[in-house]
Amino acid sequence: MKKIGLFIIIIIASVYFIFPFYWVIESMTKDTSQLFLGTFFPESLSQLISNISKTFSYENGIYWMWFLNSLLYSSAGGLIGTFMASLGGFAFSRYKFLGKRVLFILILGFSMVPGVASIIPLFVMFKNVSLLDTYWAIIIPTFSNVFGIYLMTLYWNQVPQDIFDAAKIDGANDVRIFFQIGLPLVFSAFITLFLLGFIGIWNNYFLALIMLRSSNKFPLILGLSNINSLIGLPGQSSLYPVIITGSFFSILPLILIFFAFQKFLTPKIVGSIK
Amino acid sequence: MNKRISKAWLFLILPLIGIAIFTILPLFYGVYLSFFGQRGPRMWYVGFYNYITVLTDPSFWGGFGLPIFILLVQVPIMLIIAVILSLILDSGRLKYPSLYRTFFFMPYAVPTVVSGLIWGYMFSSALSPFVPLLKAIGINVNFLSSGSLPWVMLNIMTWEWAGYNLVLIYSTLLSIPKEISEQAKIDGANDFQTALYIKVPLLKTTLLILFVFSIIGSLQIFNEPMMLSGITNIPPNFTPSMYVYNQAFSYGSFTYATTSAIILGIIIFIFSFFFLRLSMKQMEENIQ
Repeated sequence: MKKIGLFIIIIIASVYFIFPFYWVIESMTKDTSQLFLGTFFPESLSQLISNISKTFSYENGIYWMWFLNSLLYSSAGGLIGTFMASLGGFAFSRYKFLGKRVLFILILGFSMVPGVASIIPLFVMFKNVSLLDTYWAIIIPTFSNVFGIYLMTLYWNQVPQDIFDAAKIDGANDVRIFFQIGLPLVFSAFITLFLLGFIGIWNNYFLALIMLRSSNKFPLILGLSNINSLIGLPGQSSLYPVIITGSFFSILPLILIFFAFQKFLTPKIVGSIK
Repeated sequence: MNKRISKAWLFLILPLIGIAIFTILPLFYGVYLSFFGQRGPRMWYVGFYNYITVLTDPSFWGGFGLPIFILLVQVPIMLIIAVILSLILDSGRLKYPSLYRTFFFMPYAVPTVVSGLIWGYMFSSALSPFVPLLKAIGINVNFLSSGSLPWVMLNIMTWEWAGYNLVLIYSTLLSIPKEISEQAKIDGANDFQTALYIKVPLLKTTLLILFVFSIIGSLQIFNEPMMLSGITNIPPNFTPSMYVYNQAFSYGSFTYATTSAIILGIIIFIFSFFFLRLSMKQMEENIQ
């Protein structure tokens, strides 16, 4: 009896969390007038195909462009950010140097400064150097990865120092040690940080919104929000299937990443319980 | 020893340049800008005038209504849901707990822009599957009226974040040694008592950290209401971040927007600093 009660609670919760996914998928099989009926069931496969082709041919196939832009921004930014974090974390974990403590606390402090405080001055800076509305405006801010450095320091600390010392005795220089011995040892941390960076940039709406003007440079979510802002205008309700189908394909890569790399992405609070 | 000093900087130089240009410089430049009045390209020094204007602008403070509501109502609801669900998964009475955990966690994979959009549509009078259902039993609702908007936000935020919180709470529960709850059982406690008196108190640190995360997050809500504004009327100061954005990009006063962003940033920083203090002890251990 008690077990059934617990089971019912879990099922209700599951339905709540799954329902929006179901709604998106069943809505992809409807045209606008069918959407307006607000039913819970899928309509037709041919409508699904027509919605998909409508989405990818919207404005001469700009959706593809957005998709590729998102891929570019997320991969480039994720790689740069993770590489910066690996370098910084390596330095903090492996070396003793003057001012290390102060620098580490400063970096941790800066990771607490919210993006909103620096993003408008960054916009003005980029405007002054004509970087607005370029791919660079989205990619180069990832060079600054304060929280990543903190995380990577924790990961580097888990690598036994003996391994590095042995390499040192064999005569390898520090840069080679970092690339050939160090990085492979923190590979799983590198992947975790890369995926988190990838997802973070894929989802970063604010930066793209203020930096980009030309729609051919938009990432996916900015493109979607742009179509969404047209929906209230008269005669634009035929855009609903495009947005819903477009939403599905903007989530799909992330869902695939989550299932493929679940063990890298499960969040942790390090040392929360002693 | 001396040689080692220079080698560390070999690795630090690139990341530090990145931080200097894209994090520290904008902050100082922002503080500089905040002392100027601005119209179009023209700028003039105004001292603390912007700060005084922001701090005395009721519409700036009005933006905090939603974060406070989220904090006082949504966060407790979400944390309670997350704790109850993780206790059930941890009770060992159901098969496949990790399958359910995946279900609950899936919304975390959805960009907040998209979840704002999807829930917005599911609540809009045009597309909602719920409205016809409610109409059939005689209830007429407009989910997106200004009075119910905070509740719509409450729902969206809970859907997005409950799973994330649950995963962290559940993993804390899994790290509690089994002997503790077994001992409680031997002492005559039933499952419910074990959960309430043994497990929940051990979640204190995790819950505190999650609560601070939620404060920081709720002060920065932006994406979801921006999406809702495509299908309903959202006031330009619905959240503090929207106030900042609209000051800059709807009204074109960048220095004023920067000032309000700095004040918001300081408020958020204070809460984050609290988190820093919490993790300080752990950090000390990691920098030896």
